[in-house]
Amino acid sequence: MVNTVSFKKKPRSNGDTTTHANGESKWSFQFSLTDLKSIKQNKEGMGWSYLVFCLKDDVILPALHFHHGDSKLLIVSLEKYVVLCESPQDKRILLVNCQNKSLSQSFENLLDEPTYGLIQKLKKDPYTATMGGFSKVTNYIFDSLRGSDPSTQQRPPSEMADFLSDAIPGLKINQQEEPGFEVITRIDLGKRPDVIRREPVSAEEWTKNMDSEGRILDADFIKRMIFKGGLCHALRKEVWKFLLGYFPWHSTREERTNLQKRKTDEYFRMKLQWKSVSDEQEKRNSRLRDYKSLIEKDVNRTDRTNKFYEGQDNPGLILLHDILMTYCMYDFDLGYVQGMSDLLSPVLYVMENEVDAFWCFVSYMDQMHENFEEQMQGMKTQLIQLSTLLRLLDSGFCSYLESQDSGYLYFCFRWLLIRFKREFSFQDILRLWEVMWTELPCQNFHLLICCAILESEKQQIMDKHYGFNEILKHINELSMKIDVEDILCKAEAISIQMMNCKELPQAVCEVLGMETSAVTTPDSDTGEDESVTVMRRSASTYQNISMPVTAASGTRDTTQHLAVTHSAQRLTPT
Amino acid sequence: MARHMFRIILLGDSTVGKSSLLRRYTEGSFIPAPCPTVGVEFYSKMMELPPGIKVKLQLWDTAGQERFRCITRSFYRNAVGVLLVFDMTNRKSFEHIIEWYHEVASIQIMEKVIFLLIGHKSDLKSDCKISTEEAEGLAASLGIGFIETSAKSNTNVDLAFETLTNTIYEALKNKEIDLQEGWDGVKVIHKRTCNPQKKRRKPQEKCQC
Repeated sequence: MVNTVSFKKKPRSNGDTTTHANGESKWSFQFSLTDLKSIKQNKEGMGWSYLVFCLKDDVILPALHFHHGDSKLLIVSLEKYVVLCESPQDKRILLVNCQNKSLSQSFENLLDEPTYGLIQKLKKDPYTATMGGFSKVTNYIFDSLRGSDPSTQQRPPSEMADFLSDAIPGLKINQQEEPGFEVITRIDLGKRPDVIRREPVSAEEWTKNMDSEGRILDADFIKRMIFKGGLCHALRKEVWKFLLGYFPWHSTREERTNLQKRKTDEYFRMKLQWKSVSDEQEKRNSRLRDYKSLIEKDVNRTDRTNKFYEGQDNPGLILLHDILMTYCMYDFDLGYVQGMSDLLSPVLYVMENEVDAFWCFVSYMDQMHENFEEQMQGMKTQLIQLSTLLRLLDSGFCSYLESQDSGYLYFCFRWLLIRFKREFSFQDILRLWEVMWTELPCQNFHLLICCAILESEKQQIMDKHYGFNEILKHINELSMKIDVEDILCKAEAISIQMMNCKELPQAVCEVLGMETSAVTTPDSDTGEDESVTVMRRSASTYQNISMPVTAASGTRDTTQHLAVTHSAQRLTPT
Repeated sequence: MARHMFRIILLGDSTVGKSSLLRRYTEGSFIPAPCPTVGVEFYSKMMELPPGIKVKLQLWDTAGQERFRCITRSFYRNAVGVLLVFDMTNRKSFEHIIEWYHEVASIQIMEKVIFLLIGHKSDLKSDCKISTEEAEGLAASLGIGFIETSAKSNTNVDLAFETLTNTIYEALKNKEIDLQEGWDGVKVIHKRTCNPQKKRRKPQEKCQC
C-alpha cells in the first residue's frame, strides 16, 4: 500500500490557525501495490525528479515531485515488494512485475536502513524527519499517517506556495523553474562565516592555565584554544593524556603520578598474560593465535616510512606489537581488528612510552569501538549520519551521488573507520586528531570534516560527471592531498552555520548533539561571541542527547503494506 | 562495438598479497609493505581482448580479516570474476581457499562467477609450502584455473588478469553468464547509450505495455 500524504499547514504561534488544519488534499492518494502497473520517471537532467504511478485500471495518479531529487530511494523501497523492469519502449517507464522479493541483508543494503529509519521517524515526527537527512522530498505529509480521508478538501494551487513557506520557515520557494511547479530549493543555512584559526597552544599558555599543584584551571578554555589551533608538538605528550581522558582535567600532579603507577601495574599484569602463554597453550587458543598472527603482519606494514617505525628491528615496532597484543587481553571480545594499528601508531609516536600509549589508546578505542565490532554498526551509523548532514548542506550533491549509485557514501568508509589516518600526512593527523578530541564545537565534528572535504570535491565530481567508479577513485586519490588547516576552517564554518540555523532539522540536531531549542540565538548577539555561546551550549549538553538515527529497530512490516512517506505533490494538476 | 565492464574481486587471507597484485597490475609498481586494506578498495584498468573488444575491469581489493566480511560480502554477489589468492609460503592461506570459495558460492549464483586460483609470492621459491601440483589439484577439484604469480618479480600478473578476463568473456559469449537484472558483475555498454553510468534493469520478459 502506498500512501502519500498532502501538506498540512502548521498552526501559527499566535493561535491564528487556518482552516486547513484538519483538512485533506486531493493530492493525497493511496493505492495498493498489487494495483500498480507502471511508474514513469522524469526525463534525464530535468533538475529534479518525479514519478507518476499508473494503476492497472489505467488510472494515472498525480505526479510525485522530488524536489530534492532521490526518487530513487522510493523506487528502491518499492523494489522490496515488487519487481520493476524497464519498458523496452521507453526507458523512463518501469513496469511492475509483481512478485515478492526477498531482501538480502548486507552492508550494501545500507540504503535500506535510512529508508526504514525515515519511515519510522516520519510516523513519529514527519516535520523534522523529512527535513532531516533522508528526507527525500519536499512536501510531506501528516494526513495519511493520521489515517484521515483524502478527499474532503481541495486547496487552490496558489495557496500552496504560501503553505509551504509558512510551514517550513527557511525554505525558499521558487516558482519560476517550470510553470505549474513550485520548487523548494533548500533550508537556508545563512551565510557561511569566515573562520580564522589560531597558532598552536604554546607551552607558556598551557602552564599559565595550571595551578601550583598541577590542576588545569579552565579546561573548557584550553579545549577551545586547542580546537582553534591545536598544540605545539612539545606539549602533545602531556596534553593528549588529558584530551583522551587518561588524565582527569582536575587532577593534581601527584594524583596523576599515582594514577600512572597504578596503570603501569595494571598494564604489565595484562601484558604478562599473553607473554606467559606457552606454545602448547597457544595451540589450543585459536583466537589468540589469529590475533597474534594478524598483529605481527600489520605491525610490519604500519607507517613504516615514519622514523619511529622504519627499518628492521626498530624498537617502535616491538612497542606497537606489544601494546596491540595487550589490548587484546584488555578487550578480548574485540581483539585485534585491522585498522587499529593505524589508530595506535600516532599515539605511540607522541607518547614514546608503552604504558601511557596503551592507556591513551584504550581511551581512543572507547570512542572508536563500535567501528570495529562484529557487524561494524558504528560504520553504518556514521555513514547514515553523514548522509543526514550532507543532505542538509547540499541536497543537490546528495542527489547526484545517489544518481551515481554512491548515495550510501561507501567511499568515506576508510575516512570514518580510522579517522582520516590514511588521508593526511602523519603530522597533519596529529593536528586533526587533537582538534577532534576536544569534542568541540559539537558532537561528531569528524562528520563535518567529511562534509567539508566532500564539498571541496563536489564541483569536480559533478562537472566531470563522475560515475560510481570515478567517484571512488577520486576520493581514494585525495589521500595526502588535503590541506588540514583549510579543511578545519571549512568544517568549523559549517558547524557555526548549522548552529546558527534556527530551523535546524531534528535529525541534524541529534547527530551534532544539539538541543533543538538551543539553536536559536538572541538577535543582539553577533559575530564571534555568538558562535562561542552556541558552541558552549552544545558542547555541554551533548552528552545527554541520544542518537536515535539508526535506533529504529521496530518490527518491519513484512506484508505488502508499505507506508511510503515520500511525497511532494503536483501543485497545479494539469 | 559494445564496451564491456567486468567487476572482479580479490579474496584471500590477510597478507597473501592481494593489494600488491592489484598495484602491480594497475600501476606497475611494487611497495614492499603496503598498509593493510580496510574494507574494500577500488582499482580499475582497461583491457583489450584480441578481437578489439574493450573491457573495463573494475577491480575490488578486500580486507582479508574475517571482521570485514560484513562489508566485503556484499561485493561478492556483484562480481563476475573472483581471484582466490593464497600465499605460496603460507599453508594456512592455502587451506582457507576452500572457505573463500564457499563463501562466494553461498551468496552468488554459481553460474555467474568465474574463479581463478592464484598462488602468490612465487618469487619466494625456497619458502614455498605448497607445491604447484597440490595447488593444481585443488583448482581441478573446484573446476577452476590456477596461475602462480609474483607481484615483486612481476611474474604472470598480467597473465592472471588476462586469463580471468578472457574466461569471463568466453562465458559471456557462450551465454554461460547471462545478464540479469540488478546485477552489476557485467555491464555491456552500447555506443548509442547517451548516459553510460545509468544502469537500469533489462526487462526479463516481454511486457504488456
